[in-house]
Amino acid sequence: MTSAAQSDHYDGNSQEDQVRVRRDVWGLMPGADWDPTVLAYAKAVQVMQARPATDPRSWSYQGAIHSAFVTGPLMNQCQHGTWFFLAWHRMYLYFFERIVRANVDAHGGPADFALPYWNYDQPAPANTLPLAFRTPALPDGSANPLMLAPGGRSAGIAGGAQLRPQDTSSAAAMLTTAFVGRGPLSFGGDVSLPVRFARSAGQLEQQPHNIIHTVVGGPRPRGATDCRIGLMTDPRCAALDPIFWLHHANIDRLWVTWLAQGGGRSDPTDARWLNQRFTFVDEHGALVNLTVADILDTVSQLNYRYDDQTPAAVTAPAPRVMRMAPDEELVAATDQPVTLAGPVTAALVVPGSTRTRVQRLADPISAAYLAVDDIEAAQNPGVVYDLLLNDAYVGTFSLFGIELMNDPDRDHEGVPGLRHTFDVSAIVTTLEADGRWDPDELTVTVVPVAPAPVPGARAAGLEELGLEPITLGRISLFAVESETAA
Amino acid sequence: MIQRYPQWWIAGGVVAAWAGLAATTLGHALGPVHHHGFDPVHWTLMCVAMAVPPNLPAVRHVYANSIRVRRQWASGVYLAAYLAVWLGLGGIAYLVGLVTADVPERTVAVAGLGVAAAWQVTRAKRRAVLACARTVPLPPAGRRADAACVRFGLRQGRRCVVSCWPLMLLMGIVAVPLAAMAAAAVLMYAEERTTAGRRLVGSAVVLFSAAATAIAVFG
Repeated sequence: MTSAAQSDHYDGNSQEDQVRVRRDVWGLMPGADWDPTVLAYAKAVQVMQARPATDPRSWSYQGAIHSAFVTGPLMNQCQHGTWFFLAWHRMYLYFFERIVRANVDAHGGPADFALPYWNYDQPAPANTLPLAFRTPALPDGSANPLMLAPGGRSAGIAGGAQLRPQDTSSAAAMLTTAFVGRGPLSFGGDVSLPVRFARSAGQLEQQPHNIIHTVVGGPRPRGATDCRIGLMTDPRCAALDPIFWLHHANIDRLWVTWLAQGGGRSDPTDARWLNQRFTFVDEHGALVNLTVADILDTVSQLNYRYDDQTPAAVTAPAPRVMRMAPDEELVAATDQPVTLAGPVTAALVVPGSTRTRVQRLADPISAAYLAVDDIEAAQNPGVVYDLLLNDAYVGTFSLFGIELMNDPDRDHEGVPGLRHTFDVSAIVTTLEADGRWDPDELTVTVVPVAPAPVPGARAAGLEELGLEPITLGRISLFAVESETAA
Repeated sequence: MIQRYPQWWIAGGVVAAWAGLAATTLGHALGPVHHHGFDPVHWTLMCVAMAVPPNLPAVRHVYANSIRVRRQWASGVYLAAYLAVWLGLGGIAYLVGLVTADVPERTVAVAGLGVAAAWQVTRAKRRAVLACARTVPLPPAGRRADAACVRFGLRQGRRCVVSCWPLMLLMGIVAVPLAAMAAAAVLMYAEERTTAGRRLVGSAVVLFSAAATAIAVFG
């Protein structure tokens, strides 16, 4: 790695002579016949995997830039749970794509090569692992590097099982109108210093990003310190799975489509965000710097776009306008931690002083969110958890990254103990209309979701998985005054 | 104002404690004898002035995660438990003050700074700093809620003591200029609450060693 090419601003080079189009992998390769772009990606992965681990353009080094069990220059830089999540990963993908493209060009691959994306939020077969990632051999008979050895991915997903719609959906993220803010109030996360795992994830990071990581990776062996099983489940292994890059290309695309929806949606203008600088390695092995401000327009600044940037059709009720903290008010919560390895239901305690406030939550002037706080687990169990309020589905959460958040020897900004938040305003309204909103009978249910079985095979029960118990410190209901309540 | 800055009364207490420390230091400077030894009033002022500011975000966490009618109460319970740990360390400071009563102040200062420098590079110190933002679940009401606030305060207090005990102990038994106390307070805050400050944990070794050397050489 050389620092000779390090610059204050990366303005591209001769590679950038056209606007590339990142295409949906299922559109490129709907059947078993290899598409040139997907095949070029596979061959580039082969080349990168053959490079020595000390080469920053190697597969293992590129993965370690995200996170790894080892340390070294530029390694362990990933940004999660912060408002830099989207920007950092856009830069990461951009330089990875340049490295891949250099290999593609060197081997006579498609001149218009761009990294494909996987839009899993579509009907089958698009909601199954792309065929190229479950085909054992390339056309030349060599092993397909896109297909991992057994155990590398959740067996069902690797075998072609469909992802659940609630796991792939980005609807909740698309409903948000603010980039910055807390939990369900924001698309892109809350203000945070640039650190690997803070506790300020935005809605898109929570879902589908975190959830797809976990359901694709599946369970990992307890205490595993290598990257053979369940790669996508652990941040330290995730980028070693070739599907990681297509997943993140889709997350990047969703950022573009969120902005395209309009309605006041925009990127932050805060200088602390715009001027934050990150360092990567380009296709020449040189260090390169970019600020967030350098990457906000994919077409004019980075010379790529997506084949589908159509704004999502928002079918859910419009979100109520919420103020940011500290106007939120705790109105009910579980009164002791909940430990679970299987489905569990707990009562929400409503103190007398907040009873009226809880009753009024269904009013249009109020909004509500449900927070799952102080989540403790030794590692991501490799399953996701459905959350229900009075038996009404609220959302799904994953423990992606918890190994790093709770590690007492690792630096992180924010509070250890994972937190997930969900906007439940519409659910409360529905429950009230159904006569199921009673402050004396508020319950939350958490259901671990067993990994999808291989199509045609029997689904394994949760007890067969031997899940490590996780602890949810508190599940709490917050009331937020709407603007009109002022 | 109170809604926006719910810790205003605590911040007021911190300001008052610094004023008290300033008065004490001025008294030392004007008094005929400049001696070291444990002074419980001085220790209490030190704890409030130096150990509370890095913990204000935790107080705010308690405030924001309590129902409205409990917010100030819960914050107070938390803070009382947190300070109780620090005041408990005062007992140790008292004993150390007794043991070192006949040791020249310069020797105590040099040894104390040496211990503080060595402590900076321990795993216990690093873990304590990294865990500064750790919380405990707070039930919404009743005895369980109070108990959780106490548990949270004790845990934070213990963690903060583990992080900073050598420096605080030293300042508890050796007369230290107000400016040095202020510098130590800034360092404590930075280590606990800023990413840049956490990177200074190692650099402080140099600072403490240099201070020890200067005292040993120049008195």
